[in-house]
Amino acid sequence: MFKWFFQGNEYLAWPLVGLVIFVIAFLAVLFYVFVVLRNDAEVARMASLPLDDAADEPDASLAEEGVQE
Amino acid sequence: MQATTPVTKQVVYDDGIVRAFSIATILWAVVGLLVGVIVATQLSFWQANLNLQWTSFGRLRQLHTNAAIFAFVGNMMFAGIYYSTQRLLKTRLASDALSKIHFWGWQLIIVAAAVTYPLGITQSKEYAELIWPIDLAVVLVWVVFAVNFFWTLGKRNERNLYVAIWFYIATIVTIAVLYIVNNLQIPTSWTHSYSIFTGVQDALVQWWYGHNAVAFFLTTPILGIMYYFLPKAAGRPVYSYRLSIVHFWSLIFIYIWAGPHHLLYTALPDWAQTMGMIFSVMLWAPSWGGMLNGLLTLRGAWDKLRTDPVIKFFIVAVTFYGMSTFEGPLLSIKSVSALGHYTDWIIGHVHGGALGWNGFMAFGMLYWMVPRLWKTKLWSVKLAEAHFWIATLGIMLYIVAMWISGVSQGLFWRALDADAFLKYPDFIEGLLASRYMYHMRLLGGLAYLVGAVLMVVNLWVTIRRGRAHDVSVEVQGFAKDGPGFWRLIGGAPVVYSLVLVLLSLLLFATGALGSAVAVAGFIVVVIAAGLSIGLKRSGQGWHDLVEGHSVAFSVLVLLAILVGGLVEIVPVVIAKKDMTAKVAMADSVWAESGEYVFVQMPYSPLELEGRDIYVSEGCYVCHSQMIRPFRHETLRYGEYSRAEEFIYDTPFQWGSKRTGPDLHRVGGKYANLWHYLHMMDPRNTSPGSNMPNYPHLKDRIVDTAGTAKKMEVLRTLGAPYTDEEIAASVETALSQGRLIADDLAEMDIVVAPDSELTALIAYLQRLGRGPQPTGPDTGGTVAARGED
Repeated sequence: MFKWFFQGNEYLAWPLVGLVIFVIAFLAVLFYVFVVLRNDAEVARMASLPLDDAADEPDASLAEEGVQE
Repeated sequence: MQATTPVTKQVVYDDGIVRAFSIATILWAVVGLLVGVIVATQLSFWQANLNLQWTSFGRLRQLHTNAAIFAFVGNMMFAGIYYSTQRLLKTRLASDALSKIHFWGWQLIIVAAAVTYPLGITQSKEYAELIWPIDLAVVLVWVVFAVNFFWTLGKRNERNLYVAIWFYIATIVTIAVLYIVNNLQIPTSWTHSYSIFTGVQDALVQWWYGHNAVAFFLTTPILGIMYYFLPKAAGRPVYSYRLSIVHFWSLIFIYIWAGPHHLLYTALPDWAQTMGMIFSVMLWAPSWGGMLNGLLTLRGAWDKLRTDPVIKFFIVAVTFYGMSTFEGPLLSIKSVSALGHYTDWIIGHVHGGALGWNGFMAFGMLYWMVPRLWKTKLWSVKLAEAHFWIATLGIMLYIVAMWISGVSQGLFWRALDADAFLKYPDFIEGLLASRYMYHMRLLGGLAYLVGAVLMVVNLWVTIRRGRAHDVSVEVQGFAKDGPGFWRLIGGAPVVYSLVLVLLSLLLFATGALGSAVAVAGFIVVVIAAGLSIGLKRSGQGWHDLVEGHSVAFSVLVLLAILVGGLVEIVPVVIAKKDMTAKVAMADSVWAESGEYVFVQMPYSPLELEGRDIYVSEGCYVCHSQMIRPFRHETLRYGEYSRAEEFIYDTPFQWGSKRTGPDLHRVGGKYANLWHYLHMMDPRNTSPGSNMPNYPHLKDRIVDTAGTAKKMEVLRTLGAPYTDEEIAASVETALSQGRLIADDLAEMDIVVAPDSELTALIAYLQRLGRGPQPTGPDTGGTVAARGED
């Protein structure tokens, strides 16, 4: 069947190769996430990176009078 | 080893460039939406083009899509990237000068687009209509953006790259590849060029680009923005950082394959269509993983939804992301596509993503960011709330109208009577039935625009009451003693990736034995990689290299997106060579035997010029040239379209929407008189049509000065023009034009033989047929050869 599939269409091996690469890459990502990244504290630190900015709060001092809530 | 030595630094962020991009976003949002409302009005009331050639639907539709994508979302994306990147990396952007060049360069490109499209200067590839000099400017500005971004990564004060940065890297790398490949072209003049791809290859490359413009311009950067701004607004970290990593890698790996779902049931090879469908369906998983990750970030903070308009916009945006990424794969299933393709359903789907996902993310981001950039508070929360509800209502009106209209059109076109013939043979009936839905769509678009205007007022007053402010922070940097070049190149991720690529080539290049060896090699390499990770857990391993080094990371991203592109495009390019050889062989067989065999001949000089007018007027935005192999299509339009019929077509004109009927086999269907009357006023021949009038084509003389150059370029791309044919191009064009003009003169209609209208009629009469007579004795330079 393998031989029959590629008969006269040898370039059809390309998508198959791509699919194999995708599956391997996907398994590698899962392995990376669930095995390599086992340090919960480190993961939590990375997840909190956007919240590191204390300086990012709006300042009402310039416009308190105009605010319509 | 990457030692980290704490160093305290004072960093002042370049928020000036963020403010500039934010203002540009607000400005272009209104422009893009306004043009959208104008073209929606034209579909309801064709007279809204004011009978001007510059404001016809075919020209303005390109302006609308480009303004929405590249001007509105583009500027929003740059604002969000520059704002979040500086804060996530704890450093100022690398170069103020590059930031300014990026900003002004991008605005100039937008202005250039706004000038060229109404003038009919376009290369007609959807979302890639810009002509080649502007394409070059886009590439240059993108390189400036990339240099500035990666330079900033290099001088960062944060060791890890947050997942938002990953999405930005994928955007920069992939858009560069997509844009360059899809715009490989040979210029014939300053405003005209031919794509190096033709027919099926051109279609595949275009939709590989077109779909991934959606993926990597309208999705990945916005996901990065979501992963930064949603936690900021919610005041808590993303629900699952691990899920975000799986989301990222699976999304970018799968997305790049999905382009062929735009070409289901076309002349594209069946295996490519099936592959596009399978990967599109697979996209459900990562897309919904990302959506749920976004929604669950609000766990424990849903009460903010009641009071905070920013959260409202973000949550609805993420919900629309989920809806669009459910509907997209659904439409990619071949049987669903058979119903939905070419209909208004696709327009509804696109706008669910653009207005709901992109638009609401942009609005939420602006409401969050502008008060901070001008160090003040939002002027009116109530006005923002009003914006939210009016815009939500607008989207719902829009997409519900398009769903109803689209599904109705699909059912209408395919309806057969008891004898299996078309129940509704007149195409215009379907258009007339959609009119009320078009009015409803117009209302929805108008509401969305009104909401955006409220935002402009709100943000304008907010800005006026505040003061431009650049945030200054003290950061704990780290002295980088990072991996050297050879350490990086020899690092496990790069080495294993390269080995996998080599094994892929081995699988392709060799026979059964080599394939088996390659598959075995895959298994061995994967096991080795696993062991390598396990052994290096205590020291510097994959984690540091992947997340700590942007170059290694970018190489992996590049490999991931190249795999999907190469395995689709290369086989089709190889197949084209086979097809060209077969067509040439058929030609010689015919010449020797005198028997008819299918012969594909290139366009005559006049047809070539007529084709450029078809492109210039944007006819492809309403008319397809691709008859699918369904009974209802072949009954309505003629024999289904075959790949070999397009081998000399560049750019391809298959289209993606049928507001009007398919034109692939319109040649010979009507008399020249019919075409004349139709172009003067489509209502003459098709009562109820919403197509614009094209009287200006009658008054303009076709420019044949560049025809020979065009034929020469096409010859380099494979069209079999002879030196004699090229040398006689002007005379041949005039000769063929006289045939049409003389035919019309018999009906007392005076048209110049060298008018643009004559050229367009010549092109339309050629569609779906063999070469047509080019002179009284049919002895023109491109002779009729027996067919039709």
